[in-house]
Amino acid sequence: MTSQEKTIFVDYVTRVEGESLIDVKVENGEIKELKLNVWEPPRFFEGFLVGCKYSDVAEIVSKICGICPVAHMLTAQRAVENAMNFTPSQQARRLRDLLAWSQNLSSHVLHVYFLAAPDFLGYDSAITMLPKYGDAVKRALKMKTVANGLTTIVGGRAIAPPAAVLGGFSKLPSEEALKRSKEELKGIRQDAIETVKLVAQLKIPDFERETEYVAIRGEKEYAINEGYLYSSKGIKAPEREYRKYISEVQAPHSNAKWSKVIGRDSYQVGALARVNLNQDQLSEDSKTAIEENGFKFPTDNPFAINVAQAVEIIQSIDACINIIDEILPLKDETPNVTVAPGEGHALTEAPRGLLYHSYRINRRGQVERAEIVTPTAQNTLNMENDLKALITQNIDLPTDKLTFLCEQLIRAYDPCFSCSVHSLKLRITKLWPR
Amino acid sequence: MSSKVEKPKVGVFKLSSCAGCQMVMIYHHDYLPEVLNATDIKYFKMARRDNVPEGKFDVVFIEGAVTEPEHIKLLKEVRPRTKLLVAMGACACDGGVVSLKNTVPEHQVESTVYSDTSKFTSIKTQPVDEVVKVDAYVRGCPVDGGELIELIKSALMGRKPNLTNYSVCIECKLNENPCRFINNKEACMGTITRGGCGALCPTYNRPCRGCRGPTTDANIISYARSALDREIPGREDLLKRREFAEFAPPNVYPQGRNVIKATEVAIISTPISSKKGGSSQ
Repeated sequence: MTSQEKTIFVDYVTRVEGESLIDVKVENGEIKELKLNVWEPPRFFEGFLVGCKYSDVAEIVSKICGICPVAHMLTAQRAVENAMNFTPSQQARRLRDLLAWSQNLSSHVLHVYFLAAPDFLGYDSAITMLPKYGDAVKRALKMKTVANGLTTIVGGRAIAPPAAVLGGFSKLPSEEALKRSKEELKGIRQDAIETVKLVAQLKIPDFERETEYVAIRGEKEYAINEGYLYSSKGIKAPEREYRKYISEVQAPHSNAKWSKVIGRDSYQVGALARVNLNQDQLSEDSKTAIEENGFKFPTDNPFAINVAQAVEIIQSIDACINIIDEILPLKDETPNVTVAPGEGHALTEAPRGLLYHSYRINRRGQVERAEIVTPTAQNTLNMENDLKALITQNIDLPTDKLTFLCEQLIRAYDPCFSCSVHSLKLRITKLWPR
Repeated sequence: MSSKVEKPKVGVFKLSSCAGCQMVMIYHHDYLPEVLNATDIKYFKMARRDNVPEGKFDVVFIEGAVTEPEHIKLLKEVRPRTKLLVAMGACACDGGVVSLKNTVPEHQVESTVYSDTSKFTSIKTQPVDEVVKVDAYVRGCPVDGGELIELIKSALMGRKPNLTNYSVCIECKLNENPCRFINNKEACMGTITRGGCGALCPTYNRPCRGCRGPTTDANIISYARSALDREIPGREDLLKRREFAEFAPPNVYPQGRNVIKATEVAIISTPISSKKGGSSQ
């Protein structure tokens, strides 16, 4: 290494769920090498799911990720049900939507306030933010309490809820508790609006890169747990055809897999993709918040992911209130699924984006093949492409600032690398011309 | 607000896991100000950017199971530098869901998921205490927040934590649930599993999966016989499950950890349809 070069090394991107490493080598103002390296130990879920019983699948996959266990659970349940040609009742489907929204709310609050906001405000963590931003942190905790409370009411526990089972719910939530939760949700609506205002005050780095956005879209409403595959460059297809449009290869330098739209390039999934694609279906409050704070969607700035999350905090609250109104009073019903062999696929929106599960079940009810494609796995290649563009555009920044910007970009994506079934760690090595 | 007493230094380390137990720590934010006041969190990657891995700790929480040589290295580095080492959650205590991969040859599991397995260094899943001494266990998948707080409190006060050692059955009866083992003929593990979860799963009309590991006096063989007598289907699925390795057959842990002995495995893993009390391995 000559004196013309410099090395940056971030060996661990903190405040992301899981472990990742970025390796960037820049020489004479040009990127020589860029690797987003997932090194968190692979856990091989798709491997050991083979042979498991159909009814155990959802519970096992809920242990893929501690932040979005609900998303994995619900997606697996729908995929297995699709394999067995079973359609759950409308009430069960709406309760699942409610679970998914409550988790989306909780996850976004956590990410916006605890994982991303410290970056924008220049803090090491939400803990050190407490003295000056005490009110904001308290607001976040209040919203999180309501969100986790609702997950617990519907599912029995905030992490890996036991009530959601194949076919529906093993125990229905108490109507009283749901009504109470609805009042609490109304109580935090203003906090959600304040959140969007807070995000509007943060300085969002000026950066854009054109990419394809992929999400599910509902016929009637902003989709979370059911919908069809939809993209900004023209994909519109039923969920079972996911593999016709998206291909996956193992990345040469990491434990994650790379996803690409077949015949095109990398793509983005997540809150920004959803808002970009489905903003016409957002609730009135969410639309107003976007307008009043001067945001514009669609946008190609990946740092706006945090804005989209803040908007979805309002959307989640409104969706939960609507669903509670719609499903009360609850009808007594017991889930009952008959084992049938077959192959099933399901697409849902986890807080971090599109989630795909696919299973083949044999006549004895055992899993023969399992496939799980997580949001972070789908975003990895797009993150790399964004990093390349970001570094090229900001090549004159001092080393530490650029390193921080790269880390900030990765965190904006809200990556969840345990979840990549395969998980992640980040390190930036840079040979830097002065 | 500085106190004269030096605050205990806390570290939270993650091995192979879903981070769910760390999430429980974060979810229990009602206690956050108190905990922050009373402790000095040195290392918690999921919560903060600047972490200090060096130096001494008073309490270290380990989340996740050992599945990489690197984990063994980390544990051996951390152990001598901490007064207390706590295994947090089913993965750290017993191997957890990742130990399901131990039932299949390593290469087979890897090649099902990845086309190129040449860079993997994964080893058989082991709980933390297979590698280093563990001072306390907080059980469950995920851990119970209340128990976690009890442990932190008692560590601060220097007393023995008051953790449950009665079975899930006790709590299930207190909830007045009908017995799923007897009434529903389900392989509910509540009789032999350590309580503390408030019998959550049976209360939600599901059999206990034993995620908290066996009570110290669990009579696992009697449980297995009883399930056999009642012709409870699926009990072999549960008992053979390596997920909660304390229940697992000794081929997973040849050196011991033998809650179940080799001869007893035979009884447990006999399919219902075949001879009762079979003796082959």
